[in-house]
Amino acid sequence: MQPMSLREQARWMVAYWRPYRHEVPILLILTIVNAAILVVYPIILKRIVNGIENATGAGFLLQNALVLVALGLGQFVVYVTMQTMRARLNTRFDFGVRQRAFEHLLDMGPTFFSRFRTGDLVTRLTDDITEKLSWYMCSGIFRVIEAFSIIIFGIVMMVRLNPELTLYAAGPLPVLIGLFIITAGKLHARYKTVQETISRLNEKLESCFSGIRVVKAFAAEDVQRRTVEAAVDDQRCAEIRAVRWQAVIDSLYGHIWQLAIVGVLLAGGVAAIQGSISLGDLIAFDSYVLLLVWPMFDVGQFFVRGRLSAVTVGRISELEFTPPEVSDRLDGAPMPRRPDGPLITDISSPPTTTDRLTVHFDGVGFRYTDAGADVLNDVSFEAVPGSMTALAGEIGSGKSSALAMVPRVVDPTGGRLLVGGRDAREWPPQALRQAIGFVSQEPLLFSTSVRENIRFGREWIEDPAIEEAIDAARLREEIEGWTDGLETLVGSRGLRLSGGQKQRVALARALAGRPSILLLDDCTASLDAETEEAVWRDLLTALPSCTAIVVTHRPATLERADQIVVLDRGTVREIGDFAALNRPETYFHRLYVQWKLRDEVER
Amino acid sequence: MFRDGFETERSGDMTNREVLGRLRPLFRPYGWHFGGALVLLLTASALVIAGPILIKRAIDVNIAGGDTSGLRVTVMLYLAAQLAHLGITYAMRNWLEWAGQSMMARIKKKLFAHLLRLPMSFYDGQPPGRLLSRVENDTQALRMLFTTTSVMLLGDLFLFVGMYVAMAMVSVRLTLVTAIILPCLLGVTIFFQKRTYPIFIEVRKLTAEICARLTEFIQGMPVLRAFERRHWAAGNFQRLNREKFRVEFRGERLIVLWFNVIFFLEAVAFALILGIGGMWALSGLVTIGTLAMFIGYVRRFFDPLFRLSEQLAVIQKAIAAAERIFLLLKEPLTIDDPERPLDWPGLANEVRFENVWFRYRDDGEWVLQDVSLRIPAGSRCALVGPTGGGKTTVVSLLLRFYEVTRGRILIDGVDIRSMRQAELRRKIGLVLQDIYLFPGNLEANLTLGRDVTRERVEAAAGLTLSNRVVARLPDGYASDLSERGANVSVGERQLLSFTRAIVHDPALLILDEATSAVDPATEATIGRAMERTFEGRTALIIAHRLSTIRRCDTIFVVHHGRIVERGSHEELLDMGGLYRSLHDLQLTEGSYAAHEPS
Repeated sequence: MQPMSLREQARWMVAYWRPYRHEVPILLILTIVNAAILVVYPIILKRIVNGIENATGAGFLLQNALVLVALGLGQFVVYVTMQTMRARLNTRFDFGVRQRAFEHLLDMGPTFFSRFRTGDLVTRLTDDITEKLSWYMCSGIFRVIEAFSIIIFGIVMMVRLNPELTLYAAGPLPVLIGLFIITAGKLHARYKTVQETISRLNEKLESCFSGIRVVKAFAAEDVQRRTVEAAVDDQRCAEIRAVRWQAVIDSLYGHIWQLAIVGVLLAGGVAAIQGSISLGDLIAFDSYVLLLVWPMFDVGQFFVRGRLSAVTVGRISELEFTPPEVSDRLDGAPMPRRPDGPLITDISSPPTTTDRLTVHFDGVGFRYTDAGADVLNDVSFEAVPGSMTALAGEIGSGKSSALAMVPRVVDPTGGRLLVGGRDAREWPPQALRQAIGFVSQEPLLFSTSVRENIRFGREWIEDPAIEEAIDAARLREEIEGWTDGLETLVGSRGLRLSGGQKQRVALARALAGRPSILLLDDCTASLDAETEEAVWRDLLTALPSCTAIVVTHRPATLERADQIVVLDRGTVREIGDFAALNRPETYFHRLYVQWKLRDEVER
Repeated sequence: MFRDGFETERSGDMTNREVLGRLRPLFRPYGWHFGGALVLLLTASALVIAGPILIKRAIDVNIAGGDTSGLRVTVMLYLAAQLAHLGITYAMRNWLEWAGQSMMARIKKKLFAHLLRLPMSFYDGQPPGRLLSRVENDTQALRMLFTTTSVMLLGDLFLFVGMYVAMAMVSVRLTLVTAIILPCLLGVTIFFQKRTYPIFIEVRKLTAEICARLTEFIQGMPVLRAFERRHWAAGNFQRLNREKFRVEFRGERLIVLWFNVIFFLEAVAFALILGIGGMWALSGLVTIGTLAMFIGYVRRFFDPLFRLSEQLAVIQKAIAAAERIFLLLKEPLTIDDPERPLDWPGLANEVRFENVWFRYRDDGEWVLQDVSLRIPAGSRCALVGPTGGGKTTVVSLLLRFYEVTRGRILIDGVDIRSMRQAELRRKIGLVLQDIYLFPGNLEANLTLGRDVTRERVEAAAGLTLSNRVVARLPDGYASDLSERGANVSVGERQLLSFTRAIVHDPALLILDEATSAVDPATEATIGRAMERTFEGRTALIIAHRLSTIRRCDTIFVVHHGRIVERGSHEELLDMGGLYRSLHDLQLTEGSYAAHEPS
């Protein structure tokens, strides 16, 4: 990950702070008031002790004891207010950073998602933000301010009491901060080694579990066990070594301030014997030493966690600095978002175009990266309303890419794609996509009810339309068989659907929007022949003026198509209706015979 | 698309008592270490208790008595106590870490060894990531329990009691005054613990939910875009994200309140000690040093309390992790070696399937139905048929990855169930569609731990033509193969796969022929290597290529779990059945490939 300079990191954070800028002075004032209250405690202690020594009387004592309670109460109010504000800001940043990053992901295209694995993105948007960043963005910063306020006020008070003893009391503390910062680096290196041994172990485990067939087939269990055991031992040793350092550091931190106590006791005690300070002063100093210990830790922590948070900011902004491939940014409320801000409303509405739309590929070319190979090259054909166009070709011939261009999942890198006579890029993305029903090769469903999967958040789709879509997608029988019917949950916490069922739910989702253009990407692969036949029949009656483009290698589908576009390595090799193409000398014929045979063999 | 549920919760299959009962034996070998650590901890606690006593002495005896040298002695004692505390806590920490880490290493090894023995059917339902998390993350969670929590809790208890004893010995009346604060402290802690715990469980659930939904949305991105549901997704995610904010903030607010109530109680305790105790001091009932000592103790009250609430979360997590580990260890070895295994010297006669039926689950569909076949020693047999017909299952059963449901598999008349699994598999050479490469060097990947000399490896590589691959790699057999073997081509991997299969001179060779396309030159090399590999061996081939099939003695056509046709290539062609169709299909595909300019 690119390391971020402190300045870049600060600039990135300021954007999130901007909506809360009026809270900064309040937090600052509270921080200072809190420090001021804290440093008064030892003075009261001193007065009480001196009061006892000088036998000032019970009234005086009681009065000061009450002052202590009052101070405690005051601090309670101030600190609760301050910490609550900080906790709220921490959690708000947690929300805001995640929300902004997610909304940015929504602008990203296929190239981006092939570059970042899903698991990695999820980690960045969850653990990274929660564990390493959001606390630091507010509490981390204000705790260090709090620490410095306490240290400064504390030292001022001590100097006023006795400058010489201040040296003893505060002397070891800078050593503490220095030590913290120096050792944190060393410790970091050791834990990195631990991480490496863990990664090595994980790699070994992962390769063994993934290749368990091979391990078993070659009776290689013993050698696997030996390598894994060696890795386990490596990790164990690395952890023990790291903890040895950690223990040195922790022990030193936990005890260095005791040197201050020893110094104060010795020098202060002698001074008290000589009468140059009072016993109260001595006890007050003892309290001041304790008061300064935690702020010192906070200062050290600030630097350590700062480094971690900088890495996280780098990891998040790496995502955010990637520009979208298809320039249709999601436009919503101003970013970054506040959790108490308005909910993002779905700005989409019922499709505005119910027109018949022609899809015209006009010399379309496509490649994923500038340097990459052509996926599509000079592809031209026209799909007219009320007809079905089949895209046929071998795997990797560019069929799916051509299909994905219509709803602008990707944009052509050459030529034009006209929808209803208008360049797809000039359409408002909303209007274009609402006119389209799309079924991807992999039926992507969401973990919610069947109804919600079909409606897919499109509130304008009424129940009758969903029912119709279910009939057309031949889902009726199954749904009636489920106890919860349409409300049946699918996915991780619900019913596990078969491949064919998933495909039909995805099909119903596409049909429910009554699209003008229907795009099916090889989506009938898991359907049996009869179901598929029925689907096509119903489809044509349900959407008579729809422009259908279908990627398929099913002979029955090809025979039914009004037009077949045969793609071969990104170019149109043949085009025509089935009768015209199905002649012995064509490339299509070879494909068709092959598919037909496979169809017969596999049934 | 769908993600398995997150494992933040207990499965509820084991009671707490059962889990703890199973944990105890794990502690046992390290009993001395934990005992020793406890002794050190008790000493450390005693030293903590000594601190305020020494301060009291400095104030009451030395300073009040004007005894400078006495003061020096006391302060040096204080320093010595601190140094001793430092040393002891350091030693204890290391000791505990050593014991905890060693114990964890043992559990990991035990778990892994158990996993290796589990049958294939177990792995079918387990994504590798989940098993990884069992071995790595769950044992880590357990370690926390061993290294810190268990001992720390006992130590804190001792510290608490010790401080009260020390206070009571100095001044009973002041101890009673201080004790007023104790029920308040406990009450407050219980009050808040009860309220915050469910909130943080809820936060964990919401975090898991966020992970799950993010995964779905990221994977569903093409659909979200094609339907322009991005605003909907953003809003949907925002609601969930906001919910987490709300719940988490509610929890955090309670925590803030909790800690501050305790801080306030501390101030009240000071006021009580100084107010009431001060009055007693005026009348000479207690000394100023005693007051200082009490304040010192009250300050130390709070650490153990905060720690306690922290440790409770650790314990919850560790028990959930332990439960998952134990459930895995309880997973039965459904395929195990017989007590008195029969030896298998080598293939003398034949491999025979006798009316073999197989299904994965008792209520599942039959994958193989009444399969009988015979592979005579020295012959070459092939399994052909459409994908999903059961060819691979035949091989899996022969390797005893699964147990036959009915019927039996015999090698030279001996049921494979009466052999040791390792023995059976060691005598079989398996050539996979794609060689699976483990992290490590080439030689280790070829021998896979079998006891084979370098000469054998070189001879096998020469025979299977993979010696050229070895020659090309920078460090020969010692070359490290990059992740998943990215530095060797598809064709080279095929050759290496042959080498791996015959390096130990197996009695039976099983080949799952690759379907992946390679260029004609490579194809020819592979074909040649294959022929040389098969030379003089008994072989069973899951065949895809005509050239391979044609040379087989017997071909079994497998379809819908049954052997539908059997015979030689010519016999089967004459039959005009499924084999004929498959053959014609291949011909068209072959002619298509031949027409293509490459």
